[in-house]
Amino acid sequence: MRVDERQRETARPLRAGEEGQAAVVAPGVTFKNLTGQITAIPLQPHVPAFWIACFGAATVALCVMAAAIAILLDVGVGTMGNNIPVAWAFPIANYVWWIEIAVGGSLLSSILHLFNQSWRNSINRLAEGVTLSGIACAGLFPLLHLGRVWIFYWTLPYPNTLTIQPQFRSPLVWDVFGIFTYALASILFWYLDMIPDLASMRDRATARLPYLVYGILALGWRGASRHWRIHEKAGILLAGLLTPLVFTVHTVVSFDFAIALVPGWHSTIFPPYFVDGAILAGISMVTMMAIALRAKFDLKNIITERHLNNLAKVMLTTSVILCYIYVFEPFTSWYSGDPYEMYTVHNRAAGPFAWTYWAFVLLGLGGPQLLWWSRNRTNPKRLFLIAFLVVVGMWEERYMLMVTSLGRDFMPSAWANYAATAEDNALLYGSIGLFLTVFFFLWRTLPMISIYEVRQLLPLSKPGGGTVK
Amino acid sequence: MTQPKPYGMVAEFEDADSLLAAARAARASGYRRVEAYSPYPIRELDEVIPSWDLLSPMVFASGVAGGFIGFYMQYFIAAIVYPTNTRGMPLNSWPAFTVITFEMVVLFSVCAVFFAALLFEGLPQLYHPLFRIPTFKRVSDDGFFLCIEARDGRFEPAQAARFLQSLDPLKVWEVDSE
Amino acid sequence: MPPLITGSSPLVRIGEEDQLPDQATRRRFFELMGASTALITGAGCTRPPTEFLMPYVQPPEKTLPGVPKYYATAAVVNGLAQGVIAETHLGRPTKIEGNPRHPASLGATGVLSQASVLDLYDPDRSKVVIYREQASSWDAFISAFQQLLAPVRATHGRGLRLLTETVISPSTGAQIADVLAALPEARWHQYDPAGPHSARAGSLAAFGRYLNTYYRLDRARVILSLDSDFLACGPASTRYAHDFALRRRVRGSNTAMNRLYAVESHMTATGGKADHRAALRYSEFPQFAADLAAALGAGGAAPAGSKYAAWVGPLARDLDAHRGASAIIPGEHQSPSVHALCHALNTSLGNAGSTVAYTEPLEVRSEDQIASLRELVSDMESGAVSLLLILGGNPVYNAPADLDFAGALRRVPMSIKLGLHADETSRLTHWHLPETHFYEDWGDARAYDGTVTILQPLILPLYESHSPVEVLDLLLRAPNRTSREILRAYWRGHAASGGGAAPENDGEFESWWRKSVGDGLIAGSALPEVTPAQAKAPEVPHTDSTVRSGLELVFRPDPYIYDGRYANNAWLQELPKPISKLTWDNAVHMNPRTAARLHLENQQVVELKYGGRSVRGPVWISPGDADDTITVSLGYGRTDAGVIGNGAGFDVYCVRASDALWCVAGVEIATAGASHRLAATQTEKSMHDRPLVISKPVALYESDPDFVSRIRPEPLLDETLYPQWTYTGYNWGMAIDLTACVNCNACVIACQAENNIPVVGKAEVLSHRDMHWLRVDVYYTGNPDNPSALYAPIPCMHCEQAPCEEVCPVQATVHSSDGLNDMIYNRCVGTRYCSNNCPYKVRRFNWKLYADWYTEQLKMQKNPDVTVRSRGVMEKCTYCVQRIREAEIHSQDEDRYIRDGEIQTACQQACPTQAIRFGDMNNSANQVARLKREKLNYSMLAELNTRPHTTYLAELRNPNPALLEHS
Repeated sequence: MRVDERQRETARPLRAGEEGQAAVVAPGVTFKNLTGQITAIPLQPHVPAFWIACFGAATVALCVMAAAIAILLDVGVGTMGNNIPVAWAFPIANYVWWIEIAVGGSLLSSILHLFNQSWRNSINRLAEGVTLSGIACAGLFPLLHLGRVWIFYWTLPYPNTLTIQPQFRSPLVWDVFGIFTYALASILFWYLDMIPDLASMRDRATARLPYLVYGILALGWRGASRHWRIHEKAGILLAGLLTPLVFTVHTVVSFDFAIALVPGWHSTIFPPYFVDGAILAGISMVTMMAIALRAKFDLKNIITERHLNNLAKVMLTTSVILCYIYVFEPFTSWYSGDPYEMYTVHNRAAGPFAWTYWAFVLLGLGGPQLLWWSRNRTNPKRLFLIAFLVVVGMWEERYMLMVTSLGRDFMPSAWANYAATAEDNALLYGSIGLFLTVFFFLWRTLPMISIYEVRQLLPLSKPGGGTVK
Repeated sequence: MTQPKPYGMVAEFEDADSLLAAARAARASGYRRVEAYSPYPIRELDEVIPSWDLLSPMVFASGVAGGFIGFYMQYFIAAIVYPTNTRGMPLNSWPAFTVITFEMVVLFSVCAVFFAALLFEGLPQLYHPLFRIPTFKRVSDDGFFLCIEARDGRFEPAQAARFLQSLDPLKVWEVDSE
Repeated sequence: MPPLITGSSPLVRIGEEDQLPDQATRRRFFELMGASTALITGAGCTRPPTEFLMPYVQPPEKTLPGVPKYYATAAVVNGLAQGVIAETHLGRPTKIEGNPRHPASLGATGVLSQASVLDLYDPDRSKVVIYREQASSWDAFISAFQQLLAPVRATHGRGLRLLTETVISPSTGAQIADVLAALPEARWHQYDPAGPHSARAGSLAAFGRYLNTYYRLDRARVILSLDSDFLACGPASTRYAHDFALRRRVRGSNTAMNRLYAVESHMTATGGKADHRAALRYSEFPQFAADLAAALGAGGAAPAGSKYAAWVGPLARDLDAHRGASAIIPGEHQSPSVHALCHALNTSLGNAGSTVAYTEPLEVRSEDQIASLRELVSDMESGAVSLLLILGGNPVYNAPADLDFAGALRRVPMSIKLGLHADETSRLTHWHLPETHFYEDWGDARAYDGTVTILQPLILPLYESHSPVEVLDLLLRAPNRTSREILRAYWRGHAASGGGAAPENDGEFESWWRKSVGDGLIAGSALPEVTPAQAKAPEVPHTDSTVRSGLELVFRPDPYIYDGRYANNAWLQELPKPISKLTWDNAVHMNPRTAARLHLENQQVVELKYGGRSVRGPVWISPGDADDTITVSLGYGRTDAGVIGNGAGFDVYCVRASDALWCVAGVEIATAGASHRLAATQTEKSMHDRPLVISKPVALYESDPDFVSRIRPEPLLDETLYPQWTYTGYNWGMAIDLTACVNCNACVIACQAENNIPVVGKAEVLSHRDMHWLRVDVYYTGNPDNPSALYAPIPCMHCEQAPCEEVCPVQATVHSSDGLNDMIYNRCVGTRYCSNNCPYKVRRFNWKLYADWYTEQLKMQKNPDVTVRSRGVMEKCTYCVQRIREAEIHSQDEDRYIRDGEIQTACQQACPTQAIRFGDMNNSANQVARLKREKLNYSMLAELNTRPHTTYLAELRNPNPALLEHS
């Protein structure tokens, strides 16, 4: 019974003006128009111009990436700007950046689910879409940056005639396992969570093909109480598993740097520092997507100002933590007494790549501070702009981490600067194309808002809150 | 031609409250094989219509298995199959092996959750007799259904129909099993 | 080689093919069949072997594929010999090592000798006779030549001119003498653009005759270099560096060190190494030398008003204290008066005969080559020259600009050029004849002290080519003789004068011949010393150099490209210059103050104007140069060198006049707008106060022998939670004595030749992708206005706890049981994580397919014991693991422990100063183990606890206290 109490409490829809906040779902939404509204997006026969424009632009960028990859495989990684000492640069920066964005999505879908933040119900599917698209991009770069990508599978343990196996002390192998697990878990979670809504799609589909496709995907879901019980249980379990996974996957990414003894990388602060940055970047990306779509597909009644407000608050919190870490960095390096660490800190702020450092400080750290003003939190246009600045700033940070630490480490005789090539840029912007292509494809074909979860936010769904007999 | 074997008697209700009330009534009047269908989870139903599953133990077991497999794979390879002097570290560098061990725990558990969930939900099951109810599509939107299944020992079509009618449903159907 | 006139028969005489280096004919056949270029020339056909080759180590029979053979010969570098032992695999010379018996080598090699093997395989070598830019043949040339000779013979050679580079080879000299005797009207001219012109004039001024000077630095306690880069450049630099380091080896309590003073106009490797260094303008050197002489006369008191008093006083006292044990070395490009003054100083200090040796000239005929060339050009213009025979050299490119050799050459009715490349000169001559490389043919050459080496061919000529003596023989007799016959005939007559006992009979001569060829030198053939009278110092007009103003432009031969003849050698083009670390370019060097005064920045293109001629080149700011002094190196800006050399750098010969070969005052400089990117492999030359290269005065070591362990404490062995790995068998390690390293870069080239290291080209060097496994770091120290330099060769450290190994995901780099950090190319997937995690940044990555897999000639040079790496894999120094394994196999066959010094890494073997020692650290008797016990021994970046197997002995210097307190 206490369970019920809590459920009612948290699941109770907040009415407009309460706590000076907008409701999670605007008044006037019923089961019927809700289902109709969401399922209509994939099912509508005529494709909105906005979608065509975005998807078209994204595919063009994707083609650019395909061409860049062809050149890369033909000539070799030498077409990128990397050198000795800066052996990692754009590809790894992009990889970390995309993983961050994916992780931010998972945070909404799993962690907030675990802590029963019901307000996330309307945007967690969207967040998972961001996660999947982000993983698709992130998974690409570690492969592309390999000198001999055609034998990437040598990093996996499998019985082979060479009788050689991976070297499990290497963070890169940890990464392989981490990313694979994370990708698989995210996909399973996303699909399992979507089955009831696929059933809604099945039941709304009029044409035969969608009916068949959604019918098969729905696996014959009937909404039986048994189904719901297990579905809820599995959801909690998966959320419980994903929550530590989300933290570890980016911790492992941070190990790629923290395990190395490169000054500026070799630091115990890296795991929390990376995870926090990931949440900031990921939430920003989710915010951008949410704002864009709610505007274009008229979902203001489902993705309300309340959501934007909460997302903005998460961004603000994480950015403040990040500020703390960056304020503390000079102290730790000074306190360590390590001359190389100290020089690296100085080099970041005043070296040849100082501009990336300050670009990050301005965009990644300064940008979110605008969110102290509630006006900026609730105004979609401003929030979109700020989120955009943050996403750009976080990329600058990853880039800065690469070039400043590697470019000037222990032996001055080996110091060198780095210059990105057209190839590098083509891959970066191409990957953005890949991200948008996947995301917009998902949006057009699947219910990108969790209908059954939103239903639970409606007054109708509450015992006693129902219609009069 | 023989009478087709019935699957059960189904009543459609206006909303969650009446469905819940109906379910309680059905249980009270001794029906055991009762199942309720709704567009979203109604937690109160869980007490009314009890059911069991092994989700948690299965997930736990496979998680443990994943952990053991994960660590032993690394130990086996690094210390037995292909031992090398890497940075002068011991062959069994267990601290370095913990990460992958954890990832394997999660990997196995996640797969277990997914497949166990489908197993106990009885999915996939693309066809079901209830789908023949014309309004059953509403179950994924705003429809609430209660079904007294023919498997129930006390099931007798006419009586079940009468009973359901007494619960003030929108409509009552008799559903054949094929 | 067979006679020229009898064509070539495809037959191989029975019983003689085994006297070839292996199946050279068969192999070469297939190689050249593959080489389309060779097919055009028709050189694919085999020719009968007719020569004996003297094996040095193994007898020629019992040829085992995979077992290399070693032949003694000499690398002829700028006309002078450095005795070498060539490693040949199945008839292909692949690697050049020093000949321990040879005075110019003592087992080590110079950069140019190491790189000479690549010249042999240069794909751009001329492969065919060219007549008026059309491919022709030797037969066509010979018949045409005989017709040309008829009138010449009739007039006793009137109108016939020979133009050669400085001729030092005795047999060639004799051949020329015969020609001149047969054709008395003919004339012979010599011209070397960067030859010792000043040295000749200087000795003429000092002694009234031509003398050859060389130095015995192993006897010198105090050395003064007047603008001489004797440690890194010049025909004897290998020997000089060896002797120099010999007197600086501080071990245990023996702290005796020689002292080197360097006065320079441009910072060189020698200057950076000096205990005291001063920058002086080129024009001030005579005054400086004169003041020094005056001070020596006055017992160490600098002459009144000398602006060098601060230096001259202590210096003179130091020299005075070491009479007979000091040496004053003038730079070859310094003015004759400086040379004469140095002779005077050396003789008055009693150094002549002890540290400074004088012999009769090495060259067959010493002369004022500029005057000789000027005479030739005027004759060519006046039409007095009817037939010009150019044997070697490239005067069209490198003759003084004011002589306009090219214009004169166009007026010569018939001109013939013999050379390795169809170069700028060949374009203007009627005939071009391909010359044999000195590894392809018989010949003889003298070393810096006159020691003669008989050159034996290591491989049959790759193309239809002939040597100068064979061409000269066409003038004398028909049918002419092969170079081997000429050579043997000459030494049959001169064996006695060559040093050996006069052979009574053929048998005796034969054994003398075999021994001389086999040893790689003719015993006792060094020129006898002469003791000249006290040299008279030329009067130096006392000029206060402060009033002399205007920019001075100094020309120097490039340390690697020399006068341009090595421009097409890719190894040398990509080898970083000792101090500037530039590759693929020459530059306009000036010191920071001058650049600031002229408002110039690095890589800014400037125009140098002088005497109506001008040249454009990029600025490179070189700390340590003299004020208002611009230094440019010769040899760049070639247009017909080949694909490697063409277009690299800028040609300064076009502003070099015959009356000012080395320095011109009052050049005008103007910015030419654009800027030109220069590819330097090391851009940061400050050590940022990090104790990487440790260099201290020897006095500190004497007072506190343990100072190194205080600067650079070694982490304790138990500073780790992990149990230790133990190395019970061999445990390979390297010790590098920084006091000995003189930054000659021979090790870098040796490593490149041994390990098939590819050349990447300027664009890739610009993006910091140079592939050298071994690099020599250079750091400036001391006063920025007059810095000193620290050198440190950086190979892979083979850390016992290698950070690279931990992070490799595929076990592509792991530790071997004998302490090596192995790199497994086949396993590498190219994550490059290992490079990130290498604190020494010694790992190199194949960003693209750098190795040349297609050029047939270059394939022949590859070391078959070393993998040719493909695209996308990491590589690095392996401690020459192929040599280790070879030695292991031998020792296992003989069931014994590998002897100390049995394994020499390529860098160690090439090093003239023996700065690099390699061996098993487990045997405490081994040299490397003993060096690592020295108190000077330290590990670079020891605090990272990587436990490097390559450790360093801190550098010690020996400054003069008197001079220290003054400055």
